[in-house]
Amino acid sequence: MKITLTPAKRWENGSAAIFLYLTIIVVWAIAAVAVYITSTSKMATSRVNLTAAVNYADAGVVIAAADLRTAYTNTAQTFTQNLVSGTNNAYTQLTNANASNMLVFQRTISLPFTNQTVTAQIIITNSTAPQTAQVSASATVGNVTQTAVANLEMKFGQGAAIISVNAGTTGTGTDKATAQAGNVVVNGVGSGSYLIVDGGAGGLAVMANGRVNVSAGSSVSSSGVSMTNWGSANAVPDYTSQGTANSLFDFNRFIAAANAGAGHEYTNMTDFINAAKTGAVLEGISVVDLHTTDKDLGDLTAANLPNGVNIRGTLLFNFAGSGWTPTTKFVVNAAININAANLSHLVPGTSSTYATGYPPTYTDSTKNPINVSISPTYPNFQQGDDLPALLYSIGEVDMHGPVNVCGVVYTPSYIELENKANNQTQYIRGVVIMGNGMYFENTSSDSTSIISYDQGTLKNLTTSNNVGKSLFVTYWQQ
Amino acid sequence: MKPRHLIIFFVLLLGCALWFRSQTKAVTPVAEEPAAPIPSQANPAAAAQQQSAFDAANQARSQQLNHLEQERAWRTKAAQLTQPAREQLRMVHQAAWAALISTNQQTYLKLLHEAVHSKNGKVPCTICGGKGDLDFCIVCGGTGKCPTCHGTGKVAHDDCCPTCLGTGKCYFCNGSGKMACPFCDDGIISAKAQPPPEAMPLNL
Repeated sequence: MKITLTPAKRWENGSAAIFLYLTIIVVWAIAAVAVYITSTSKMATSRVNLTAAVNYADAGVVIAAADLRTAYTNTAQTFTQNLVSGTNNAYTQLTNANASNMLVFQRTISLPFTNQTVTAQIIITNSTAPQTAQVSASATVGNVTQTAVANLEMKFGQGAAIISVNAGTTGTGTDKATAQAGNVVVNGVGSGSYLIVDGGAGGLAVMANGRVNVSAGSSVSSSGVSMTNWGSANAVPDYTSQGTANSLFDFNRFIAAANAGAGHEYTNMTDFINAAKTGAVLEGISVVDLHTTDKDLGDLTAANLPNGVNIRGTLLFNFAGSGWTPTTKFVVNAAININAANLSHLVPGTSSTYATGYPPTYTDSTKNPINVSISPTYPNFQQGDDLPALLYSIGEVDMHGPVNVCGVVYTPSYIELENKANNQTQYIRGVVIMGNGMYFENTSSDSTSIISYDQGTLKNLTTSNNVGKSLFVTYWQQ
Repeated sequence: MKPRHLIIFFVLLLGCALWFRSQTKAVTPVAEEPAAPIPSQANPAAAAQQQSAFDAANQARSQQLNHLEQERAWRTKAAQLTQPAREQLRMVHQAAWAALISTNQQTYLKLLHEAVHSKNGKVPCTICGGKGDLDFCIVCGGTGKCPTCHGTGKVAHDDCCPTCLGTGKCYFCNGSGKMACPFCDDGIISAKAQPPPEAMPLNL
């Protein structure tokens, strides 16, 4: 059979062209709709993945920061050893990524996530007590990868002019017995006198696990007081339990530094008085060993020390031997000046006039504790460390005379700061931390008693095993 | 339909297909990356171990808070009984307190007289030797231990001792065995100071 192609008629040709154009338009429209639907779907998926990745990365930073905090304050080993030896959260040190003095640690976090991993990195300076760190975490969800970065600062976590860790009692009195029971008592105020506890910028006036009892007339803002925190989630840890992993300072470390050349250890009160009575400023760490048998315990008087005790650095009263209790005291009438501030412009009640003499500027750099080696027995002090101004162990230094102390005052024992003379100033710019309560009194006339919080004195407090320090975020980037 | 029309049609169709493909690629320019390994697939044992540690840490935190709460309740309950417990002890030791006050009353009045007439209104206390505390404690007998719980901090049924609130220390001398001198403050008798109370203080 022969097929003969008949030439198309003119109108048939036109129909084919229209059909073709219509087909193209329909196909294009279908394709455009398909593209729109597909792209929308892809974008939605990408958006979901992006959000998930951001969340996972953020969570990774938080988990890594928690790991860092645990390692930082764990006393079992050194900081870096803690990081690499965790049972379930061990980090790997990336030797190739190290800069000259930087250490990089990495781990893959899988929990608490479900079917997801996050790669976290911790970058720190090579130190037993680094002051800053950077934590980053990367998470990939689908084909979206997100990284979160946080810069962290390690600093002392509690901010208050007076920090009392004792559980105290329920007593509401403003007497000495109530204070000796572990509470904080602020009692005053005499005619023309000031009795001030100032939380300053960013701090509370008093943070206590026991009660804080303030007599009428004292300047302690009720909003600046946090009390009866014992046994609650807000409790201040017992930093004063000496010999435990939780104690804030190891006194022997300071004694070692003094004996290594950054100060002097006086084995009895007489030796210390002889050194101090010239009025010379004793630089570095001055350690005074005190025994209950020391017949000169009560000789820190204005008569014996007309120029007072002048320290640039740290003064440590080391109650040695047996027989000491938190209330076994010696009274000091002489002036105690440690990192003394210039108080010539002091206006009580105006915190902007609360000057500081901290940090001390050493005239003899060999007395600076950072310049002596006490390693490996104790960690060396390092540049930027905040050292306490006044320390004493179990016993009581009952300060009745003029006081001008800038820095941290710490004792696991009990503190009495009593302004016992008219026209006298007792001034502490820093933080007072104690384990057995505090009695702060000014019933004299025309006298000034001020305890003012200064974060600058304890931001990098050189605590044992970084006890009391927490991580604070200074910068967060996604 | 002429063959050239069919060719044009297919070319256009192919063009549409290519355009569609290019649009699809434009939406997802990021190259496909291999997904992170899922821990349960990568290392099930490690994942299970981490899960176990995570749960244990959570449980430990929970238990710690629970323990704190129980301790607080234990102590708060005892604190409600502190006053009656110390009042009982006062009844026992009031005679000794009264004897201490009366024995030294003449000396105290003499010193107070001197303080009133002194330049700064203060004189050293000779009753305690200027130390601020005595060499004994009338409540614990100088042991420093709480007379109710004998230093354990606990009473019957492991309840918190209401007298010392669990510290085990004598509330009157704070465990030192040396009570504060009732006549002075830190070894100084002041003209402004109150005389010692007739009733033994409860130190609440």
